[in-house]
Amino acid sequence: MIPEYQASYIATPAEQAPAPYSGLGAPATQPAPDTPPMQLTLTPQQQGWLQLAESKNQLFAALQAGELRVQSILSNPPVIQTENPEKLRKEWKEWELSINQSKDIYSEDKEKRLSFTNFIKERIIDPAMEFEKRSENLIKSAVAHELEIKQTIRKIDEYYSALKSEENALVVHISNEQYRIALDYRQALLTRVHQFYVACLNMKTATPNLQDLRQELRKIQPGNMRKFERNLVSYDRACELLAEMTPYDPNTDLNDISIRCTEERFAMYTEDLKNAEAAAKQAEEQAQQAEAEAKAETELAMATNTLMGQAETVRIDTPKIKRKLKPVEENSQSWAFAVLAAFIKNNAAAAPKLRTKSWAKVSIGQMAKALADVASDTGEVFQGVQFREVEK
Amino acid sequence: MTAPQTPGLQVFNVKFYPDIPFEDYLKLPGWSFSGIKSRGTKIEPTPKMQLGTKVHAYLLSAHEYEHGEDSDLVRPLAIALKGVLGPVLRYCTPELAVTADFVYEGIVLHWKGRIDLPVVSKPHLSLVIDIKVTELDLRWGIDFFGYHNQVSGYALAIGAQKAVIVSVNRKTKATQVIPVKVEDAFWRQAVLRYGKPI
Repeated sequence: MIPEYQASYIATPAEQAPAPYSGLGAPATQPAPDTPPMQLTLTPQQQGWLQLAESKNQLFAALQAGELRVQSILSNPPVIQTENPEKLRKEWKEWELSINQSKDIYSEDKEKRLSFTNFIKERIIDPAMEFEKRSENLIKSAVAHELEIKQTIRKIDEYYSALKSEENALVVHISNEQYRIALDYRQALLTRVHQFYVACLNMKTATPNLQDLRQELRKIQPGNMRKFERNLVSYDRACELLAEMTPYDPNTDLNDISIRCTEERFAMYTEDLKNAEAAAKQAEEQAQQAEAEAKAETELAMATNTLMGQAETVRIDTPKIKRKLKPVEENSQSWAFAVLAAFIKNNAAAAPKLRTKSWAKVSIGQMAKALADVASDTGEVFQGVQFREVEK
Repeated sequence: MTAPQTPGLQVFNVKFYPDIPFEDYLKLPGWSFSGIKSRGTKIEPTPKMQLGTKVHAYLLSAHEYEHGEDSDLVRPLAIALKGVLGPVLRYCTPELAVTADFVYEGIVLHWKGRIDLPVVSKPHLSLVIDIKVTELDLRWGIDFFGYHNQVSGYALAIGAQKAVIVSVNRKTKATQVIPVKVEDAFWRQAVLRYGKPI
């Protein structure tokens, strides 16, 4: 389908060129000397545009004429001299009259111009801007909605990140507690074995009763796990995590120490008994060394667990939300003075934040915005000036 | 010394060179991760590497480094890292140069590496800690630069079952801890590509 504005320009074979127009009325046709007159059908809208163009031409011609008149009236300013004061006074009166005449022309032309440009503004510019205003409002509300989505995603991510961190911390806690309990338990068993060995040496017991020792070892109980303060991890999830980990089995250590370690310890007892005092001293040193090594190993294992437990739990695609401070504007003299004082005091930081082309036109509001930018970057507080946080 | 074998890749002749300067490490025979990535081009310590060395120095002997070069920059970074590393630090052998032979399918690659903070202990306690001073999210760096392959090489060489990259952002001082799964796939390919038949 051919649009209306095109259709109206489809000329008949006889039509060669657009007809000239005169004035603001309907287009006039004027036959060219050697060609038949052209007939052009225009829509009311097209006619209106042509009238507007004609009006504009007439206005510009009138404005130009006005300007020329002003130029003409003001073309011969009187020469400023002191030799003939009367002449100067007379010329001044004439010049004053010329200026007044020019002002009248200027005002008339301004009114003509305003009548035309206001018409353009009301009928074309303002209605044309309505489209973008509606889109702008829609986009603004869409951006606000997007911010809400981003904030929600961020909150979700932060929650799951905190939850994962707490789960990691719980796993580290369980693992480290197991290491600690195992270390303490093994150490308690070994200490008892060592004490029993040294006691036998000191008492010069010919045949130590290892069954008594084993019974005593069985009485030693492993410690309990210290409590972990859960905030986000549920009880069920904590149980799941615990079930996923290999539990510490104290019986393994009990059997190992009450049988293998005890037998190893007492393997040289007969020889040691011959020099009981020295053997007891050596046993003491060996026990201390073994304890120190066991402690170091456990500490290293626990430290490694703790390090690994700090593994990254933050999502890489969490939406970024810009946070910026905006001034809370108060329509009061005291607020204006507070802004002015803070701006002057913090000039070095605040002045570069000021967006202005003319220092003569800097307003209190602009200074407050600059201070807000400084506060956004540094967290600085300015007495008497309040800010609110805006997220983008 | 022979490190524990991993499926496919075997590690022999592991040698440690504690306390050797970077220049001497460069003279050691073998292919490093950086060497493989740069196809054998000579490596000079970059400003970022130098900053890393300074941070290590501060971490391990803060009093000696207190007034050292760039201490204003180094100090907060080291403090942030220390907060993460905690008591592990005292078990580490800083900037330990290591050489080893990586063997795969009858081909040997002489390997070398300089590990930031390794814990050389019993296999189940051995640990590789690699420090990165960066301005990026470490996870991008791992994807882009293949840090996990570098760290896996260290772990394979010293027989560590655990490896971790700890980064500190030089601007924000934020730290990240990323455990690395020790894998030999990259190094098997490196052996086949740059190694020699035994």
